[in-house]
Amino acid sequence: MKQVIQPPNRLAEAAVKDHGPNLETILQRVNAGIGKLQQDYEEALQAELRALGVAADLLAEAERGEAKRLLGELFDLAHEIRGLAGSFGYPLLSKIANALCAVIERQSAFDSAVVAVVLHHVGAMRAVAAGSVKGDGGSQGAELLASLQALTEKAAARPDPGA
Amino acid sequence: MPGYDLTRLNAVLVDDSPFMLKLLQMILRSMGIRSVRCFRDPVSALIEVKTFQPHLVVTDMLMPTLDGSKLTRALREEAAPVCFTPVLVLSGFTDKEHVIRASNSGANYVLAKPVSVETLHRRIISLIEDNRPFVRTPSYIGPERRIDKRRPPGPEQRSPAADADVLYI
Repeated sequence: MKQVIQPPNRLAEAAVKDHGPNLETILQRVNAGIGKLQQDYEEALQAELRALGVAADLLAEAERGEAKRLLGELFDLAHEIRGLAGSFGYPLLSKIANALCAVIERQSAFDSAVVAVVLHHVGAMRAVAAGSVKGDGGSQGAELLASLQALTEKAAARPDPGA
Repeated sequence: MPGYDLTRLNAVLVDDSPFMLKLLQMILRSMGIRSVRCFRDPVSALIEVKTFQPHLVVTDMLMPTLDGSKLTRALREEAAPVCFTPVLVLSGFTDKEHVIRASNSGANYVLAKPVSVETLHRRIISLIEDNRPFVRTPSYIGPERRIDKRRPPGPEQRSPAADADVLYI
């Protein structure tokens, strides 16, 4: 049985129209706030990238069971980076992290070709960060994303070792 | 043109990433929301929401112990008025499965990370101006879902699989 209820609008009761900041003012405040958080974020990002590098180095040598754990660790780190890097001026890093998450998510079984693709993504992220590439990286950024995509598709086109 | 004065609003933020919490708290405060309580642990957030009864909950999707969908569902199963608390789910996942799961949990909106300030602000204003009726069925408790199939996917209504900024549910 479907029941339809009109809830009280507590938000509307608390909000006062035409007496608050407009979007432009809010954006100015946010930009100032991001400026203050930027240094903290840079440090947090460097720590995440170091951890990503360590996990990737271990993955390159890992056995099947350990690889699964490391891939989970790499996913968590990439997930964190994709969610925040874009807000702090690193959209290219965020896009590569997003692509890395997608590669790990799609992997159904341990596959050395997929591990190689993962390592390429991590390498690309470290290179972008080392070059302090802010923004989308222009044409080089687009080329990098396209090459990672091509590698991913090539690995995906192989027969599934888990099938 | 002035916007809404949101200084009287109380919000609860839930994200296991401390940095994301800092960022979102700063954004909500920039909008004028002074009381923003932050939780890394969704279970603690749920207890807080039941007692503190905020005007708004903004939660991450992927979290250990209790993800954003389960947190939303748990809130919707509470007694009124807690069950009516507007919930915005922020998700790093924009694939169909995750969006449908968040939608089915009773979230008011599912927003893709990285969320833009404009998008978050627009959704909060929508919650103020468009108080959707709640629907209670054996399988769903939450705001009435409106999907206008006549409209082609656009910035406000895209297919769940798209790399969407906003997913209108």
